Amino acid sequence: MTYEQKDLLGLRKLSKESLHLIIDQAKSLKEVLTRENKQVLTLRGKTFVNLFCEPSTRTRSSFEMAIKLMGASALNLNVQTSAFKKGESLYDTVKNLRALGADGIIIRHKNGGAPHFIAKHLDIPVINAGDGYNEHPTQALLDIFTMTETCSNLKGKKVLILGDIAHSRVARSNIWGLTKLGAEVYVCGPKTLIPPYIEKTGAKLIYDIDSIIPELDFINVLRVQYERQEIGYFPSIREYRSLFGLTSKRLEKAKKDIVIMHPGPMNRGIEIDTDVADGPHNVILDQVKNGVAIRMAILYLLIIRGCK
Amino acid sequence: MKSFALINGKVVDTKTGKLDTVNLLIVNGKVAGIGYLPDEDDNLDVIDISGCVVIPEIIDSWAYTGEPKDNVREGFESVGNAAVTSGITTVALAAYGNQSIDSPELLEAYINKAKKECAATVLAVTSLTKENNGKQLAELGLLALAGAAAFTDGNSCINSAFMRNALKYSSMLNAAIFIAPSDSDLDIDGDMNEGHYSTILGLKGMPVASEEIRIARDIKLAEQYGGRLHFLISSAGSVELIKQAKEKGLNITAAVTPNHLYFTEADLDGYDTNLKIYPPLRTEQDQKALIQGLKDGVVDVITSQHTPCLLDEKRAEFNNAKIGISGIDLFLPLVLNKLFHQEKMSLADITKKISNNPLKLLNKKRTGIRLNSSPNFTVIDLGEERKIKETDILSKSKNTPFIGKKLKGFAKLTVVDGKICFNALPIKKAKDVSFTGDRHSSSSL
Repeated sequence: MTYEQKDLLGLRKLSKESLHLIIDQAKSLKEVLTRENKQVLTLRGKTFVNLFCEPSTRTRSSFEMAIKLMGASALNLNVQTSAFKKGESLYDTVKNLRALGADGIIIRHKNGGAPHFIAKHLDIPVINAGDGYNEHPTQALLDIFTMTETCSNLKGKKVLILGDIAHSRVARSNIWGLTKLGAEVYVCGPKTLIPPYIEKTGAKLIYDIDSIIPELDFINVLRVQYERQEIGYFPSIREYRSLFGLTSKRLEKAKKDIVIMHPGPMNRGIEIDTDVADGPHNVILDQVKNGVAIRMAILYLLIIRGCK
Repeated sequence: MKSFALINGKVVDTKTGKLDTVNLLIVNGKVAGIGYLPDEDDNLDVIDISGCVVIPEIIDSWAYTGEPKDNVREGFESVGNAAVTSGITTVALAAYGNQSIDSPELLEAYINKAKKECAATVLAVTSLTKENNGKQLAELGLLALAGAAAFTDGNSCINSAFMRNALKYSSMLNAAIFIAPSDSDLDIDGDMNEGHYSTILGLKGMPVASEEIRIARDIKLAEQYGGRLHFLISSAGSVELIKQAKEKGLNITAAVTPNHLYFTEADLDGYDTNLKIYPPLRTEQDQKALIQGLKDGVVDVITSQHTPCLLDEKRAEFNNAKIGISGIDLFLPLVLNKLFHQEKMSLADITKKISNNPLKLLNKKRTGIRLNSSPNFTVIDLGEERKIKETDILSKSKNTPFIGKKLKGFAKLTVVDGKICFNALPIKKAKDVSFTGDRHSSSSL
């Protein structure tokens, strides 16, 4: 079986089979990361562009690492140094990158649908590294990969996504991916940070985190942005922490083997307490490591498909 | 071709809705005969329009061009050609972008230019406020005297106190204020309707509440202070608000665009920037309410809201793409295909939405097809069905989602002020035509 799409734009329209394929591929590539010599040279001679039109440290360095480990070259562009400042359109920028010889473009953009837009105009793979509030498929894939390491079948497992769902691409991609695998997905956060009709996505909506905690197998905690206070999304940080923060006290009622995740960067003491973030249930750094494997797998599958 | 005859036509009677078979002789741009052809002139140009229907004076009551300063975007000439080819004889135009026609001097120059360059008759929808700033009224009285047909500040938000004055003042002039209703705080940076699809596409939503709050507020103001309001609407809730206002006897009218009758928010899955419009495409339920509103008479008018965008303005990521659809070229086919063929509305009812009601809205008298008038009318083949090609779009802006779509019902001939401005029918000489029509003569239709 091969990956069927030219691009990886999101998980909403990705088949369950492709999702499994990526996870399986990541599993075998993760083994490479434990070797003395970590580099595989499968993608030698290929060049990927990291086109980051929004700040990112984790995702960008994870992609860069994955590209290098696969033996390919990375060209890193961020908006501060790119032509956007001179008024060049995104269309012209990516057409130029293609002409320069890019074999694939990894894009992070503040607008939902930007990767879909460039994918329409390019004959090379486009990987969505986060577009607005829409999707962050590689993050969700690495989250799911991490979950499958503790529990190989996610069917019927209860996963809570906690925090600012409205502005979260991570939440959306997780919902699409996890519901495809049969997990029961709950979302919880202040009503002002829940997007309309969220339940039509297949997720269940709750506002009282304490009522659901005892049933959960996984909690994925989302970063809360301070500036949201200013436009009335919630009154104060302390109120947020009190109603929606993941504290060790809250976790006392959880299952013994509950798994705590966070896509980073964390606001310790706000959405997640330090003793939880560093505690025995956390897999936060496994997520980071798995991110490299997932991205290696995606690069590989997209390029191999193109070579057929 | 200054003189010509049309034979075997069926004209929609705008009062009764009946189709009258008619032959029409036009000499030097004026109706010289109705119901008969002169036998003596063998060389008279004759166009057989049997099988077609004639609708008098089709009006697009709210469209944008780049005139006066930005005719690279869209000028009178291009929009005029597009209009008459579509079957429109009169267009009410507003200025695109940050341009504003806010003084009688500007308006005079605008209308004079339009007369020279535009094949269709141009009416001007001028600015409600100076430079559309929402703070100082434009010289509405002088503008009205110079020929302004209505006033608009588009979808910009005007505070309640100012709106009260705008209504009171404009009510003296009996001119309507056109509003694309929006609460700019709720719609800020919005891409599309707020709902299920904005959630799953990760785009910033604009709630129906935004549109409806503005309508509700302005209706209340009109109720207390008078004035005429004309809203461009897109939601079921707006239809309901307009209905209630009409039941109270207020001078409130509403328009929809064909775009909202064909597409819903679901069509944005794929991020087609050609579907980024204001008001945004709403749900299927809203769409049904708009169509029902047209049938019930709550929605008075269909307008193209022709909004010309350049290729580069649409070839962008969704949030950065400009708002608007190029709508004038396909206005009539879209209306006929949807309302006549799919929704089975009568031609008389459709004629109200694109002729009678827009005339009233714009305070324009019908020219009529009567002896010595310079008539405006369109000959339509209701049965013609074809796929839309890019070459069918004559306006400069090609930002339409309808290319490749099959439509039924097209204009074949358009007459503006007694002159043929568009013709896709064969012209014969009187001597070559076997004329069998009704030869009775009458003075008007």
